[in-house]
Amino acid sequence: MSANLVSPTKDITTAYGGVFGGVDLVYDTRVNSSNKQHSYLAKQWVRPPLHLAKSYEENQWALNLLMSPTAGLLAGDRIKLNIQVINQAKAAVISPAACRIHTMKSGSASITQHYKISNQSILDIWAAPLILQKQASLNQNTRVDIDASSTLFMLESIMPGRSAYAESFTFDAWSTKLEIYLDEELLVYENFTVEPNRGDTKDWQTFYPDAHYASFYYISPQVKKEFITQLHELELGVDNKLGASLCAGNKGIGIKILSRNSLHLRKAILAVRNFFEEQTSTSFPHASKRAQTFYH
Amino acid sequence: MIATAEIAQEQDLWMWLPHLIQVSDPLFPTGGYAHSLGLEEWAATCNYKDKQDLVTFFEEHVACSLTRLELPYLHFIIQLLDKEQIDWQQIKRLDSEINAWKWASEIREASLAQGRGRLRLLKKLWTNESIMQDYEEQAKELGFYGHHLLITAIQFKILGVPLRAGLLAYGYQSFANFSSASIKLLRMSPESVQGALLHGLSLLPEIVDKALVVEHDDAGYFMPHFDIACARHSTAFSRLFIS
Repeated sequence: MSANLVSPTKDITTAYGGVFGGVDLVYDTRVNSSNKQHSYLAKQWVRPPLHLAKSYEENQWALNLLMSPTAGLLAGDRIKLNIQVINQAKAAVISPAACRIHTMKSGSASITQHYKISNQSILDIWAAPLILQKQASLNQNTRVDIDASSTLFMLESIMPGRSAYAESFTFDAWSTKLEIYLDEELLVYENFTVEPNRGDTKDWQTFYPDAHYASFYYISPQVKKEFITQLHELELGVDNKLGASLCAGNKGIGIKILSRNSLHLRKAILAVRNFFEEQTSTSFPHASKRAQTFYH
Repeated sequence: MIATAEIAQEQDLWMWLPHLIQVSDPLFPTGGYAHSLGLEEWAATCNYKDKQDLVTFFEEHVACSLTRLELPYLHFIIQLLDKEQIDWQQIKRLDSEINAWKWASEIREASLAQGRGRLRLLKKLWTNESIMQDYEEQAKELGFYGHHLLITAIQFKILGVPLRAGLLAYGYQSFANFSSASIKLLRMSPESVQGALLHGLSLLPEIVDKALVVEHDDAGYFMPHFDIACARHSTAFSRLFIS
């Protein structure tokens, strides 16, 4: 069955000086002819500069690839992602190509994300890194609403410039606000602006001058305290620093990673994902590993 | 007679000062001595050795965190407590945000423990304060976490501490706490620690000036490496401090 179209949200319009697009996706479950429940993309709305590849279903999971044909965001571009996962659905959304935040003479680009996961559903957000190019400015605003029966895997990673151009921390600003609500209780709150020009990256660059950064959140009823020790014992070598901590209320785990370069970042992120796959009996669809070409 | 009355009035105006010194002193048992608030693991990670390392830590971490995150939140709560009709819902929201932005669990637990310790003493020593009774009622109804910043703001309200003095005192406590921990962590003489503390305190006026103009939407600071160190402290093979 083909996915239904969802009418665009009111505020998605073309803005002067940039593109205003995004996706609005709903993942649900249904019973197939073999009387087995599986997940599927029930509703979708997509607008450039994002492109949604054809949905793929595997082993009770629905998988989608999100790509940007323009290979990144320019000044004034605004992206809005709304993704909802309901009724025990399992959804994996990956972006296999790094997203460049291009050099800007003025202005900024913005990414607004809202993820809603309910009723024993699972959402896996596995995005390739954002590359903050010279003089780029990015505003990110992410909200997650999840209930206590559901699971979230969410990865975000940042590269501080294009290594081929020897760029490193020459972007103008990276602002981000992340709120994760579990049953309407605020679990995670991150809100900051990083401007290299005013010395905001001293901590970030303490050990690696071109440090790549990744943040991973695992929110689930399966969280165990011993995961923290096990994550700290992952053998990642001297080119990665990883810290894992229980979120407020012990309902989730936050992981921060700093790596010497993108190769080491890939290694650390794959190790973390493999860890959770082994420890939580979550079998990520093989197709997502195959499609996530940035990491494999 | 007039001169005596004026002197008495002047003394009354400054009566908050000895109380502020009392509650800011390490003698005031909030349990702060048991926490390094991340410094133990950070000093080991960075191979800190001496006074200059501690000064660097003050400049690159403590000062930034105070300016862009902690003092602004203290300021927001003090502003709400100063209103005739206190908006406890809004205070609850700020307390929840503090709970959620303290990313490393040990740092979050340390803040809760110090909040509990300070609240317990305030209740014992400053009995019958209406603000305390209001807080207790609202805490039951709204479910406050009771972070140290919130209880400190209530304490300043009880003592009548002026805003700027309150922020300076909180800043002093932060620098002093790290200084106290550093005596056990680094090979530093008490004189060297005092030298570093003096440097930290010299930064405070500017820190407070900047913190006072931070808006809620802009309050926050990014220290991924320090966060990683704080998180790893919880599973460190050996440690002296709870956090």
